[in-house]
Amino acid sequence: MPSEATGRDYVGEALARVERMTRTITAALAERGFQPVEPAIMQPADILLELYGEDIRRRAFIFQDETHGELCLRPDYTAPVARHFLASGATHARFAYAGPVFRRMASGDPRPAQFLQIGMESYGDPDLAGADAAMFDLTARALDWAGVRGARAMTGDLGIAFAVLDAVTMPESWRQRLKRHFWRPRRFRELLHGFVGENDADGDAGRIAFLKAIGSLGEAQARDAIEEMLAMADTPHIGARSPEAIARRFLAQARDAQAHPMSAEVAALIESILAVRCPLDQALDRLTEPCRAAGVRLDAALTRFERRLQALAGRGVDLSATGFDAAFGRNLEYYDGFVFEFTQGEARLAGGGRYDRMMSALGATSAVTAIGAALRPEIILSLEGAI
Amino acid sequence: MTTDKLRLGLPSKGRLQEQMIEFFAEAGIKIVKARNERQYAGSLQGVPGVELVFLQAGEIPRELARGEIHLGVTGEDLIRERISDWARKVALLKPLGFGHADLIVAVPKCWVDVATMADLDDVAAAFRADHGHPLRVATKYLNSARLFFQEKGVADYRLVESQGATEGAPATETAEVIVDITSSGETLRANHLKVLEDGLILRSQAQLCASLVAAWGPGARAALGLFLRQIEARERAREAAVVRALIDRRSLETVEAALAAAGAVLGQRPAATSIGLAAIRCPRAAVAEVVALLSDCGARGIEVTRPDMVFEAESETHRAFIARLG
Repeated sequence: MPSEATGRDYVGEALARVERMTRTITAALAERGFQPVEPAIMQPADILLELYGEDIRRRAFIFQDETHGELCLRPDYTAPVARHFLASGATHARFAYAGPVFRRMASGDPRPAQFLQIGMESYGDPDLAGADAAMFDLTARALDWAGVRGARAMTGDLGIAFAVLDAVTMPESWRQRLKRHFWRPRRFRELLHGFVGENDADGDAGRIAFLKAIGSLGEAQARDAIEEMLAMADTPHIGARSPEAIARRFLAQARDAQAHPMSAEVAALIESILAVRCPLDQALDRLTEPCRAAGVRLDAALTRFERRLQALAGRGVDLSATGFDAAFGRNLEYYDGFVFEFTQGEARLAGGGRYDRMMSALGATSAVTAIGAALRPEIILSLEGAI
Repeated sequence: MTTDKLRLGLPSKGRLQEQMIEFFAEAGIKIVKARNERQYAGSLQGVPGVELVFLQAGEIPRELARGEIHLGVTGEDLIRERISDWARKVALLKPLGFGHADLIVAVPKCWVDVATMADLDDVAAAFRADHGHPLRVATKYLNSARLFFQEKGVADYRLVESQGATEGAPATETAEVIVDITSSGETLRANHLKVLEDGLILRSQAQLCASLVAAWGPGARAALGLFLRQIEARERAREAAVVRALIDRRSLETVEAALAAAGAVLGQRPAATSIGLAAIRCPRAAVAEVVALLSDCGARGIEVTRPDMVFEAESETHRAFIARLG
C-alpha cells in the first residue's frame, strides 16, 4: 500500500530556516499590535461539527476519548483563536500565531496531513473596507518579509453573490436553497435551472398538480385537507417534527408550486455576476453593468466594493495587477465577504478573508467583525529550494 | 504465510454460510464442515489448493482489506461501509444472486412535504431553527450515510449511531430520519416510514470478493482460476438449454443465421450431407424459437435438456483480476 505523508520532520538547516521565518514575521506582527497566541492543538470536536456538519469528519482528525469525549486536532487556527477572543469578552483584538495544523487528505493526495501556518486575525474593526485592505496589504508585506518576490494576487467578494440573491425577487425558499448551496457550484446551477423550469426535476406531475390544488386553498382548509389525506392513508403522526411544522412547509411548497418560474433573465443575471473574472480595476464596471441592465439594485454591496477598492489603492496596491473572480472563495465554506490569495505559479502561498457570520455561529452574542489570513511557510521555503 | 494456497473466508455459521455452501455446491465445489458442529473447521473439494478460513460474517470485510484472506463472500454494503478506500483494497468479482438488500434513507410517512433529499435539506435547515439542535439521522452505516448525504448536498444534520432497531428511532424520537437496510419494506411500513424518492443509496447483494492486497502466489492465482471457471460454468448453465435433433446438414445450414440471431450456439453438426445429430446450445428463453426453426426445416427427434455446467476457455473475470494485480 502506498503511504501518504503525515508531515515533515525538521532538523538542522531546514529547522533553522523555518524558525527564522516564523520569528521575523511574528515579531513584525507584534510590532503592529498583533498579540501572539497559541491555542491548544487538541480542541473539542463539537465546534467543528456545529460549523461544518458531519462532512468535517472526512477532512479533520476527529477521535473519541473516554474522558474528554470527541476531540479533534485543529485543522486551522481560525476557530480556536476566534473562540479564545469571544471568551475574553473584549470588543476588538488582533492576534498572530504560528504552528502546525492537521487535515485529513483524500486518498491519493500526496500533500502532508500536518503542515505549518503563520497567520493573523483581526476582530471588531468597524471600518470594513479599511480592515479588508489592511489585511490584504499586511499579508503582502508578510510575504515580503518571508523573502517572496513577484507573487500574484487574486481576490473575490462573496458578499456580492449573496447581495444579488437578496436583491432579486423570488420565493424565499428558493433564495434560501440557493444560498445554502452556493458552496456547491454544480448543485447551485441545477437549482437555478430548475427554478427557470428547464429541468423537470423534483418530482412527478401528479404531486405538483396536487400541491397546486392545495396551494389555492385557505390555510385552515389546507390543514384539513392534509389531515384527511393522512387519515385516509392510515398514517399516524410520529417523530419530533410537529404536525404544524409539516403543514406549514407543505403549504409553503404548495404556494411555491404556484409561483411563476424564475425568468431566464434573472437566472442569467445571477450566472453572469458569478462569471465575472477580470483585473480588479475593471471589476466594479463589470459587476455594475449587468445589474443596471437587469434593473437590479445592488447599491450597498457595490458601495462597499468601491470603498474597498479605494482603500486598497490608498495603500498602494496596483488594482490592474490584482485579479478579481466573483466565484473565488466558493469552496471555502466559512468566508462570507472579501476573500484573497497570493500565488506563485501553481503554489498557493497565502490566503485569507472575512468571516463575520462565523462569529455568531461560534457563539458571539452580538455582531463581531472578523477578518484574517495565513501563510504557508513550508511552501514558500520549498519554492526557494531551502527545504 | 508460507503455503501458496488460496485462503477462502467463510462465515462460521448462519444463513449466509448456508447460502454460500449451497451456491458453491451447485457449482461442483463441496464444502464439508468438520464433524463437530461447533468446531470451525472444514475442507473444500472440487478445487485443489484452497484453504478454508472460518470467520464471523462481520469480520470478512476487514480480513479481505488486510489481505489475510484471498477470497470471501460478504454483502457489498459491508464492504463499502467497513473499508475505507475499499476500491483499492477489494475487488467485487461476482454478484451471487442472494442476500439482496437495499440501503435506503427513510423518513416518517406523515412528512407529506418531504419526497426527496432536496426536501430533507430544506427541512434540516428549518429543524435546527425550530428545535435548537440539528436534524438527527440514525444508522449503523455511518460512512455510507455520510458519503450519500454529502453527495446529495445535505449538510445540516447529525448522525446518531444505532445500536439496535434503527427503524424505531423516529417513533421514540431518538432521531428524525433513518438510513437502514431493507429487503421487503415490511419493517418500514410497520414503523410508518417511507423511503425518499431519491433515497436509494445502494442495491446490495452478496458478492464474491477478492483481496487486492493479499499475497497472490502462483498457486493462489491458479486456484482462483479454477474456482471462477466452476462458478461461471454453473452460471452459464443456469441460463442455458441444449436442443438436440436429427437433421440433414443442408437444412441446418439454411437456419444457421436465424439460430445465431436467436442467441444459439451450434455445438455439434451432422457429419456429412446425411442426416445426423445436431446439438445447439441456446438461452432458455429462446428454446421455443429454436425448436420452431428446426422443425420447420424437417428436424426430427428434437430433445431439450438443461446442462449442469457449461465451460468456456477462459474466465474473463479471472483474466481481469490477474491483470489488476499486476
